Amino acid sequence: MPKHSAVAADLARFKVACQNCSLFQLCLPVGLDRGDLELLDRIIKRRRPVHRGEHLFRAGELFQSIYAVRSGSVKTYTVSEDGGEQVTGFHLPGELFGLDAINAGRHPCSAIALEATSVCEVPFDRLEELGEDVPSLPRQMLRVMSKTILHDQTLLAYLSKKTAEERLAGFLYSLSHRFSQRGFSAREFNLSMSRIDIGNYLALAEATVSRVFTRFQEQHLLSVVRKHVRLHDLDRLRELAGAAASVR
Amino acid sequence: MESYAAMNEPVSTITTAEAQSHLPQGKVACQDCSLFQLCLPVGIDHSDLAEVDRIIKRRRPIQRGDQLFASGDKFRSIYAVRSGSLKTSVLTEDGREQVTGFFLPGEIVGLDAIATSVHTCTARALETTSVCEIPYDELESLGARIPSLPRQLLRIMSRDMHHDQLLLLLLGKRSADERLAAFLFSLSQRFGLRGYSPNEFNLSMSRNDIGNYLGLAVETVSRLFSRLQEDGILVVRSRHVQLRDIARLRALAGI
Repeated sequence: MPKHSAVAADLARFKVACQNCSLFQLCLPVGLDRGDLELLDRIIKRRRPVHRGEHLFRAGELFQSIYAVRSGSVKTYTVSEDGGEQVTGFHLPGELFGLDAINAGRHPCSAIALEATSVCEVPFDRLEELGEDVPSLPRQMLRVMSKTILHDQTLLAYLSKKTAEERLAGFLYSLSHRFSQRGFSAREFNLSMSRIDIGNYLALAEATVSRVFTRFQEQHLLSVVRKHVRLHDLDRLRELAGAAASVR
Repeated sequence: MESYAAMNEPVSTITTAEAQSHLPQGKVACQDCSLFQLCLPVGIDHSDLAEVDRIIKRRRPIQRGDQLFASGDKFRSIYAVRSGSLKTSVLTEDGREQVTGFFLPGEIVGLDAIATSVHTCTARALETTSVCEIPYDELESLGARIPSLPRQLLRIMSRDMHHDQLLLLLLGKRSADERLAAFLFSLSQRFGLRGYSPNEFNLSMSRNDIGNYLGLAVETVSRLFSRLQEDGILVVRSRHVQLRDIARLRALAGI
């Protein structure tokens, strides 16, 4: 029964139209006027929340929609021939994913919820149609894609060069920045991803990730209890991250 | 797995694969350009193409080592490589260069600056290179009238995004020989798509650049080239590469 009421509450939150959504200024509808927003709203499918560990799509599936995270968080990853997993991104509320499938027509990555997560599904063929009447829509799409490419390149540029400390500091700084943009605390948040995921994403061993967390704690940069992180010194974290500060 | 080769998939099917080496530099309109099927105007009809053509600036070729734009420059245009090749790189905090990409004819550079309005990397010619400059504000206004234009640009950016993810996979998980093999296989495919020989090409980038891009020491790159040669997979003389066994190269790359 408690579970039932939680789902009901989620569903109520779920019906919120773009114009009433607090993520509006971060997401796809930036720069749309009220009339256009309603048109966009009409094509968006708001689905029931997915549970932790549930897939939104799997690699190889036909591409039909892009997705915006509404609440919760999503991990995208690819699987290599030998079954090894490579995390390609973590997506927070207001961020779009599935964009890498637009050209190929099939999803190159799988997407899995890291916690109870709501998404807005945007069917891509309908979005393209709408873009013909609402030119600010493709404009905003291009800006979102550009930003993603920039982040990917920043990640690539520093993966081969930076130390474990710099990588983890950059990752935490970026999370802090993204949370605060979304109206959450910049200093205190839960990591929905595991140490293994973080290590995989940053090309570090899991043991290294844990060791660096401990060292940061000893240096009073942060305190960490399991998934809960409290940042004590954002400036030093940023300094430590250096050029990696914008990695997401 | 999602193969590294997929990063080379064309944005649309190639109908003509004509050799690019004698492309007259500077004057050819989009509709007469043999890179047409790889570049921005895919799927745009004839009359619209003339409009696209009007906003494109075809500049004098730039020389090896010249900058097309520098990190920190205000973003005004995206650039399509017409002939030659470009390298993009960033400077790290401690002043070292990090190569972020190599761009061949028909590929578009500068897309990462659309969101920030400032270039965050520097683009430099690796050899004598011609580009088509496409002013972005004009492209945006044109896109409002020609919806297939932003559509095509989205596809190109989606492909680039996929490319970066595969490179991430390569850097995160692969051994040195797998990285170099995947890099050479990828170049071979990209040259093939452009009507050049997939078996024989010149590397316009130095061993240093290759190592930097793949996260390998320059000595490692040279040693791996020698080993690939000893194994009969390729013959390399300075920058000239002849692939003798693409199937084995591909297998080595884990593709």
